[in-house]
Amino acid sequence: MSETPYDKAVASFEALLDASSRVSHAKPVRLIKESGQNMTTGYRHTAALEADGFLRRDESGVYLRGTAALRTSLSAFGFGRLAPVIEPVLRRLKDGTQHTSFLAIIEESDVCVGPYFQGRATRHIKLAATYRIEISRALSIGDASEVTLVPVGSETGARLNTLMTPVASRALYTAVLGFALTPARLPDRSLFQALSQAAEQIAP
Amino acid sequence: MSRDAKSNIQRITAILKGFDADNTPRRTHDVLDDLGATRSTGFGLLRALVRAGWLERYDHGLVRLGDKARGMAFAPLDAQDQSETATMRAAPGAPPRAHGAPDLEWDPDLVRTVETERYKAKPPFRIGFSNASVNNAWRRAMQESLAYAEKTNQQQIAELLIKDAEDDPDLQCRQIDDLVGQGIQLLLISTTSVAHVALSNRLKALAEDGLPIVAVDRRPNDRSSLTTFVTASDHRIGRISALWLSEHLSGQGRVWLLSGLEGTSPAIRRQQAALQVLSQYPGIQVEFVSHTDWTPDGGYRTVGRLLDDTGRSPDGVWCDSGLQGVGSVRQFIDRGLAIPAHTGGDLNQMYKLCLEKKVPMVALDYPASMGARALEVALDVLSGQPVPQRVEVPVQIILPRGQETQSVKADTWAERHVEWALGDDAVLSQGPALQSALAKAAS
Repeated sequence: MSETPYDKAVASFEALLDASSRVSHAKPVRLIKESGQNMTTGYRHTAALEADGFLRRDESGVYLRGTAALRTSLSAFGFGRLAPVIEPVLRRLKDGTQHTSFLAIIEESDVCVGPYFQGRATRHIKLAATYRIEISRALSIGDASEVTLVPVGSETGARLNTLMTPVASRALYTAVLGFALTPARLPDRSLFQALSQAAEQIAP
Repeated sequence: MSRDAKSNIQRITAILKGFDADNTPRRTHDVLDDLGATRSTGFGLLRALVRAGWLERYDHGLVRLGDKARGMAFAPLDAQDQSETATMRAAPGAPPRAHGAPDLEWDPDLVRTVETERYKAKPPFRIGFSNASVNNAWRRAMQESLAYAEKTNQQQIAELLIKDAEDDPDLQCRQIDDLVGQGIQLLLISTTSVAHVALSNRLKALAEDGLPIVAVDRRPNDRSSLTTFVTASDHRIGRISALWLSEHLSGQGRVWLLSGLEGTSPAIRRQQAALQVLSQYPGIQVEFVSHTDWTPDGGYRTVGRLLDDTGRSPDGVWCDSGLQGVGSVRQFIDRGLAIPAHTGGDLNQMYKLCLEKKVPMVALDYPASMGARALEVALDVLSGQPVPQRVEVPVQIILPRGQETQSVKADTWAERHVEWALGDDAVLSQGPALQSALAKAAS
């Protein structure tokens, strides 16, 4: 089937959003090049996405996914209500512990990593978008547990040690707050406390 | 021919934003009605979004957000290290305290949301901004940041009316009435005073009449009239800067406190947080607490007077902003005295002076980009999106290399933060609005 103008528009939308999360771009021209679009169209689309909140620029001008993108993606899991509050919570977790903090959505043993802040103490650990839980275990709201994740689609990919606590559940999905942990090091008690405090803040 | 003037990209974002927080399936006909495009365009886009996985069919005639939309959740919330910009994160330091709960400064208002469905209106919107004043560089930068956001969001804004209250609450009351008379749908306000009765009552009456009010930077003591408050953590600015000064002085020394404008909420909260920290160090003696109106002249005069009165320099000068900090540093330079450790960022000149003169310093820029953030929040309110009761724009810790202390580590080095190509009055926390200034300077 031939590609319609609507398919092309959807592909452009997707390419710009992907480009914003792959590499940091402080100038529209770099973002547009990365997305593979021509400059004239790319500028117009970038401006439209920024105006509609799907792209935003941080203090240094670097393009990031915008608040509308975050809200839409969490709504797709049924957790749209977390969208307005998740950024300050993750920021405090990161600032207070220097560890990478993230929100993830669990469906059985599949884990979709969501928005995250990279912390200084774990800056060498790069998160992947999807994992599966190595050994399934029951998680209860407010309790932080150590969980090891295995990258999906890569038998050789590095395992990710995490500390997680659930904050909401809905139908098939459970939303968890988590920290990335340094391999082969026991998590400090303060990390458990920080996650429990955060869960208390946002759990219903 | 389409019935609206939107591009297909804008229509795509409109479709995706039309689903609620629970991803309740929507009838395709309802989606198309809201979109306002022709049937053929609307159906063409819906089919393309389903094919690509952004939407999924739920039942006959129903769609909801799909897997691609879920995948969009994986995203960093701040810039990564491969940034091509001048901003460079400081090297990893030791994590804070190994035992005990970290101080995460939880504020329940950050996670409490306000439903704004009752304010939902069709764009473009008419918004009024009552600014407390433009009497210092930071206030002008905040307003520039707001104006920048207006340009970015011009399709949603019919008019942004801006008034300068010149730090006069009575004038601010009259200007608010004028804005309301011009038919604004939302009031953005930075209040001139925390406790002016007439101003608080006027805001309360307007809120009761159904006008959404978003405060930015400064709010009244009585926050019941506010839909939300856009700010940065004044407590963090006061606490971290005082902690750095105490640790830098090894817990021993005489300190002068120079606050901003008396009676304003940021000045009060920063000073309270700083005094609380300093009181935990018995060897730190707070010799003077004074206000400077957040101006270089205010800082210069105050430090001059204190030097005349005491006849000796302090070991440290705590400033809640570089707005007065530059005046303080200048006073020491003009007298040929050694410059003690200082706190306070915001102004480019503060970084230039401290780096040139090798003054030990810590800075936590009060983000002028909160102007832009406030306008974005205002647009969310008028779109009926839930918003937090309090929206905080992040504050970074900025230190010259080699000035980290046991507890205070840099997010960014001052050497990378300063903009030598920009003027002394530049405020470096304007966000993207500053990029325009840099581009102009470069050309």
